[in-house]
Amino acid sequence: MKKKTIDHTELLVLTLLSGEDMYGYQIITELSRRSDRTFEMKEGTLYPVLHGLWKAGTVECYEGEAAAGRKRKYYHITKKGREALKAETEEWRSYARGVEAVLSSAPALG
Amino acid sequence: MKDFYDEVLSHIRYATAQEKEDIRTELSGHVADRAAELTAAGYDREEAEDRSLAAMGDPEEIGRGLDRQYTHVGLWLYRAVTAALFLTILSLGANLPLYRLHMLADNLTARWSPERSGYRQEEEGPVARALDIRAQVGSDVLYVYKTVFDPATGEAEVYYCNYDQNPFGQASDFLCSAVEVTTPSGGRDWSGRGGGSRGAYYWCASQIQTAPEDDRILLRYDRFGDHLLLEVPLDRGEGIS
Repeated sequence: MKKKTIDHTELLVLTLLSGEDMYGYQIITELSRRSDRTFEMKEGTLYPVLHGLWKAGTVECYEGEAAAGRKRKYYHITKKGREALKAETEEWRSYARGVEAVLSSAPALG
Repeated sequence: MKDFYDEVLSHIRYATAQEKEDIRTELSGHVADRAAELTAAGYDREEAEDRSLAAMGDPEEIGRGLDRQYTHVGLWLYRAVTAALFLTILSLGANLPLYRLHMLADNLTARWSPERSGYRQEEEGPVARALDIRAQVGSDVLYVYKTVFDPATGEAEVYYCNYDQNPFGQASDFLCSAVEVTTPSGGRDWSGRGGGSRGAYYWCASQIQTAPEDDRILLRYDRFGDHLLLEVPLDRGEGIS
């Protein structure tokens, strides 16, 4: 079982972006909504993750318009990001299967 | 009082001013979006803003997280290279006025192709022989690069130049003219012409009376503690005797 090479937060962010381009606040609310509120990270800590993905070249960003003429930074997954997402999703799934397999082999609890 | 964004940015060491501005805009936009949602849900504006800021989390944690992404080796490399370039140009400007470039050019020409700047023989008939005999004299190099022999008159010419060992250095302006030119049979140069500039000096010792058995020319220099005795082979054009 290989060690995780991607933080699970990054995996989740890339998954969201594989569907559509989003801005930071949108990612936070979507994460919470889709995970049925399991993932409610402290909102500001999303930004180091996003900027890290950008530095790694897995996402790019562009400026969009928000309400009242305010500028908004949108994130877009790159080809490199899609490839990383695919590889890491498989990694994660096999990791999760491994954990589940060990847990299932434990004697019944309670 | 430092605001939330200042606190975040204070932990980001190597981002550019533009990057920091962009971060501030992005974070404050996020807070504004959250606050808008809360006011829509019924909170008053001030409380909405307070809650939104609180929801962002610890500014130090966010700042340190961002700092890790903005290592910016590129930026520091760029700054280091720019500074080095600036200092180089500054020092070049101070220590190397333009004439030094001419000096350098002269030095290199003397070193590599003295014929380009040195004196040329004019007549047909003389036996010309290119040489490469160099000797260190003080901080200069004396470079004997040609001999010419006129079988009709028995007279020889020796061409030589001097340049500083350091390509940027100034050549000695008396070395060439102070060289004594003799032959084994006791002949000497009766004429000479030379010139040059700071980068290199050239000399042609001419009208050297040679005896038939003189197969070499002697160059002697003895001044200021520098001694030189060079034996320069003289090609009389007679082939292998």
